[in-house]
Amino acid sequence: MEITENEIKHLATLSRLNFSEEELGKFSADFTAILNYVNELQKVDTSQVKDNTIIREFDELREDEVKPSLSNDDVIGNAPKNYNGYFVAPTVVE
Amino acid sequence: MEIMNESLENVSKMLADKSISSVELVKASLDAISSTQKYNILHEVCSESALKSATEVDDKRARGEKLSPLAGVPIVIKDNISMKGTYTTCSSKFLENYKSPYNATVVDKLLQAGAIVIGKANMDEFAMGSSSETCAFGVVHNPRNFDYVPGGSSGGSASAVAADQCFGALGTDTGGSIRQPSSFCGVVGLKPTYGLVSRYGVVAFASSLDQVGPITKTVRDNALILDCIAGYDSNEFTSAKHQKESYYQTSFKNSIKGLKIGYAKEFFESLQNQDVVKSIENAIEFFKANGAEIVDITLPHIKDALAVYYVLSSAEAASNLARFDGIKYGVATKEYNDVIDFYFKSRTQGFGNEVKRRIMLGNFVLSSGYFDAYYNKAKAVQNLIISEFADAFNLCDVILSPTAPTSAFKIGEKVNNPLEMYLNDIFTVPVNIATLPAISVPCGVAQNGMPLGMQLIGNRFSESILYNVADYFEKNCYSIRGVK
Repeated sequence: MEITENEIKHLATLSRLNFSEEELGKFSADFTAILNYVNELQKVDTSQVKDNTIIREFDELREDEVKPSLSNDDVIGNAPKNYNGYFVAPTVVE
Repeated sequence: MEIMNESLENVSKMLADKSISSVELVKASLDAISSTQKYNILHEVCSESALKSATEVDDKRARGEKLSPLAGVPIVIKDNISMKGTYTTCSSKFLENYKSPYNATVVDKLLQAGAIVIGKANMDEFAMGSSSETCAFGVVHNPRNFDYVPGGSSGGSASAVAADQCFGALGTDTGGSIRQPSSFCGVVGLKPTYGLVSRYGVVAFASSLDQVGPITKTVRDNALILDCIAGYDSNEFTSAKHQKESYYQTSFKNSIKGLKIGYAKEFFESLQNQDVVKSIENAIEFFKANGAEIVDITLPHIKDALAVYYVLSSAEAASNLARFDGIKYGVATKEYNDVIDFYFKSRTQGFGNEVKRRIMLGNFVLSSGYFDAYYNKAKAVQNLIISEFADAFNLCDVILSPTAPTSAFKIGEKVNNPLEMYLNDIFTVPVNIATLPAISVPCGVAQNGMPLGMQLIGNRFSESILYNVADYFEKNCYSIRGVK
């Protein structure tokens, strides 16, 4: 299976990643090799598998309890930009 | 630095009978770290907090308080595990300046036991890699030979133990990231059963596969650390409500009589490296001669596990890494046109190539038109693999395989061929796919002078059986540390 540069560009958009033209060439080649390897899965007969759930024991929710959480300063402290206890994001609406 | 060569078990006894203090141990550990700096093992050394904690432990001991076996012992943790006030970078440029605002549950447990976190270990970026060469802060070198990789992604953690910088380390294992570096560095590494150890506060790579586990010099040391970190955590939805065990107290029986060891030919069909073949044959002969029975089992779909792994782990990684937007933490680009452009530039600047490759692959298998053919197909094959292991464990107690298809390779040898790099994990990945525990123990040395590892796979929550078999092998057949 060959993946086109246009498909790679579309995936890059979905992934919010930029690639230079030079990087795209190398990326397409690596990507095709990996996809060909992964494509071997298509040959496996899985008609007997009825249910894709893996582990059932983790479907219990704990009680919702009020507990102390991190302080505002702790949470905001790692933000590249913050103001008065808020995250600062780029302008979305002018 | 003779003391740094000791096992955790031994220094714990020495601390208890006061023939050494924790402050002395921490100083010895800091000396060892500075004399092995060229291997680029640690990203951050916690000298100040370590010395302060060591003084506190020594004071408690002087007052006659009852202490845990880990009290006062220097331990290294992987740099994707949060510890308040330390950097948690995941060896990524994206998180270069990120300081954890809270402790991971495993760190809380270590600190409550009085263990001293001495440093945070380099790794493959976001745990994606098998050689610790994708680390954004330089490659990690194997302490047994500077020219070789330490394996990955927990290459720093395994190296810290092999270089005698500490008496144990925590790693994480999504597809072999504890066991393969343990094999490459000649140390002992356990990937616990999925759900046994909390991942709260550990940066997620592939949440349905990730697990935290100990890397140590000996098998018994490994049990001491697992005793501390295992157990239910209400902060984690996938934490298992498994009865608390003391692996150190109950695992070691010093006998393997009547043990059934499963041999699956599928593990060995593609194996070409004669060093690896011989080391496993040698182990099989040893087990037979000591009263174990070798049972033929079959795992027909194990050859598909690696493809399953790359579909599932990349899909989950793409989702987990979507939160890295440059607003809440991490890299924020300075120049941009609008908010979308801001995301593009921040992510492109922050992530390395391997991480970008996995995000792209993940978004590919999750995109409409491909979801059924890749993601759902991989989940179905995962189910087949799980049932095959379940059938196998009706016939045997543990399953034996090599940990990796080769010993450590040279730095740079595989860095330009991602697929060849992925094949390193061919024996370790099925274990994560099937949510099982497995341990890697040293089992010989290859022609290139680098250590080899043997993997023992157990049924869910059978860590104590793995420890017993591995300990018996280490004591009576092969130990890289020499028999004492």
